[in-house]
Amino acid sequence: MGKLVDVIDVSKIYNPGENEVRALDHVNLSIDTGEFVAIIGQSGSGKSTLMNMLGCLDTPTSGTYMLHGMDVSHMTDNEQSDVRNREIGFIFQGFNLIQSLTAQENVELPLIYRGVPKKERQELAVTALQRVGLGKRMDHRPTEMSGGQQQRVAIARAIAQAPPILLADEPTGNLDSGSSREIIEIIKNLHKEGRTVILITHDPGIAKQAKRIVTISDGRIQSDIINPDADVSGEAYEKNRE
Amino acid sequence: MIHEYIADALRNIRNNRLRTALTMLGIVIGIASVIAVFTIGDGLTAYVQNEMGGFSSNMAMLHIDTSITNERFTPEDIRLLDENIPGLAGASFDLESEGILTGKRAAVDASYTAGNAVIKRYVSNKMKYGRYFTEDEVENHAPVCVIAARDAQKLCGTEDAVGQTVEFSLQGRSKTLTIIGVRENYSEAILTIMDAMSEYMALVELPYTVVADLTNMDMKSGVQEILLFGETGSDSNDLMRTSIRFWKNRHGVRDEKAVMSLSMADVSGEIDTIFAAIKAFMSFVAAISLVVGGIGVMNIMLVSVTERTREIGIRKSIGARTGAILVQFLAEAMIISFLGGIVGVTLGITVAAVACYLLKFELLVSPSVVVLATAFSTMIGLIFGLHPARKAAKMKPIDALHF
Repeated sequence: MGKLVDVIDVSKIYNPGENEVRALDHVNLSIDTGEFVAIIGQSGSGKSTLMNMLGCLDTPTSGTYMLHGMDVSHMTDNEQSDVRNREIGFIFQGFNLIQSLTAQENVELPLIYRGVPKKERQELAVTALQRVGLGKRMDHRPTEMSGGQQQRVAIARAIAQAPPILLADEPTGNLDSGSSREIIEIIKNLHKEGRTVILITHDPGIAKQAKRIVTISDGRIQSDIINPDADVSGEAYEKNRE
Repeated sequence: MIHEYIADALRNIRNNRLRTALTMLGIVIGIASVIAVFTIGDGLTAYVQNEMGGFSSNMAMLHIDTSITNERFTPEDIRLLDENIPGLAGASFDLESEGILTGKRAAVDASYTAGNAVIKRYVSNKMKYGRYFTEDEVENHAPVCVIAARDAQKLCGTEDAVGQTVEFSLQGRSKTLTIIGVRENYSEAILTIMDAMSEYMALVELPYTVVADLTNMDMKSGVQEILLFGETGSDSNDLMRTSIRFWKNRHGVRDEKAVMSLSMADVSGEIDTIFAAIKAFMSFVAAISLVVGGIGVMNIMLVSVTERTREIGIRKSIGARTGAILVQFLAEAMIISFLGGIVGVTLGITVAAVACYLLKFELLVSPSVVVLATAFSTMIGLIFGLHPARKAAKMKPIDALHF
C-alpha cells in the first residue's frame, strides 16, 4: 500500500512570466498513516501554499499530489470538494466558523455536505463536541465563545467525520498561551488515538511537539528530520515557547 | 438535504429582516397590483354579466337596410321562420315605446314591449302569477297584458293582479287590457335606468296586434326589424345566418348587406374584449414592476454573496460542492421572492376586497390567478437569483477563504 500523502515533484508558480513567484519549487514529501508532522517555515517560505496544496484547496502548476492513492492534482472542483469532505479535517488559524450557526450546527455542516442523515449527524456532532470539552456549549454561537472555545469547535468540526488527515494551519496563532496549550494537548491526544496530523506553523516551540519536523524556505524543503524530543509534556512545551 | 438549504436561507432572511423586506417591496407591489386588478376585474365582469343576465343571451336582432331593399319582415315571415329554422324558439316583432297605464289605484308612465308570444324570452324574470299571452291571442288581437310585480302593486294595490283590468293609452287612444300575468320584478339596474327616465316607469308586455290597432299600423306590409330567440344551447350567430338566408331566399333579395344583425353574444363578446384589454395592460404594468423587483432581488443577492464570501470559502473548504452553494443562494433568492409573492397576494386581495365592498361587487378570488402569481414571483427569484448564485458557487475556496 502506498503512502497516505505523496507529494511528487510539485511546483506552484504565481504570475508566470518575468515576475513569476515560485511558491513551491519541486517539492517532494511523503507522509505515512499515523504520523505527526510539523511543517515549519517563515512567512513567505511557501508553507501556506504547501498547506493549501495538501488540503486540496489549490492545484499544483506541475507535479503530482497523490492522496490515499488518488491523483488529486488534476481533479475537478466538485471532486476536490468531495476529497476535502472525506479525507481532510481542517483546523485554521482564524477558526473559520460560520457566525450565524451554533457550535453544533457548525460541526454538523461537513456531515450535511456528505449526506449523513439528520439523527446520525446530530449524534456525531454531539460526540465530537463532548470530545473537545464543549458538551455544555453546543447551542452557543461563535460570537458568544472565547477564541480557545471557538478553535475547539473547529476541531470538533474537523474530527466529527473522522477524516484520515487532520490539517492544522497555525492553530494557536490567534490564541493566548493558556488556550494554545489546551489546543495543542487536544491535537496531541488526537494523534495518540491514531490520527495523522499535519501541523503548519512558524513557531519552533509548537513544531517541537511533532515527531517529525519538515522545514521549508524559499519554496524548497530544507530539512526533514525525526524529532527525538517529541511527545514531551506541557511544561516542556511552555519552556520551548520561551 | 434540500431542507437544510431552505433552513439556512430562512436563517439568513431572519438575520436581515429590514433589508429583505425592502427587497421584497418591488415584487409585493407587482403581485399585489396583478391580484387586485384581476380580482376587481372579475368582480366587475360578474356584475355586468349579472345585470345583462336580465336579458336573454340567446337573442339576436335582424335589421333591414331600407336603402338597399324595399322588402320587409311580415307576419308570414315570422310564422315561416318559426316553422323552418331548427333551434329557433321563435321570431317576434318588437314594437317598443311609451304610453300610460291607468289602474284602479294609480296612473303611471309605461314602457311597453309588444311582440309575438315568444317575446316572453326577452327578459329572464320568471312569471310570478298567471301566464304569458299565447300566439293565438296575438293573432286574435286579444286585449291582454303582462306587467311586473311592483307595477301590479302600484296600479292595483296587490301583486296578484291577474284578472284585473288596466287602461292602456297610446297616442291619444286607449284600450282596456286584462292582466293575465305578473312577472317577478326586474333587476335593480334595469329599474334604476327606467326610473331615471320618468318618476316611475312601469314595464308592460302585450301582443303586437293590440298596439298595431291602437297606432293604425299595417303589419301585413311588414316592418324593418325583428328579434330572434334561440332555444337554450343554440348558437345565436348560427341562427342569425340561417334565418337571414331563409328570409332572403323567400323575398328574392341578393345583396349581402341587405340585413344587418347583432346578437347578445356579440355584445358580451365586446365587453369581454374590453376587460381583456384592461387586464392585458395592467399585467404589462405589473410585469414591469416585477422585473424591477427581480432586479432588486438580484442586487441584494449580489451584496449578500460579497458579504458572505468568507462563509462560502469555509463551506467549500469543508466539502460543499458547487451545486450545494448554488442551491443555497438560489433557495434564498426564491424564498425572498416567494414570500414577496405571498405578501403581494394577501395585499392584493385586501385591496380588491375593500374596492369590491365599496363598489358593491362580489369578491371573486380566482385560485388560478393566486397560484400563477405566486409561481411567477418564485420564478423571478429563480431567474434573477441565478447570476448571484452562480457567482457564489464558482468561487475558488482558496480565494474566498482569504477574503
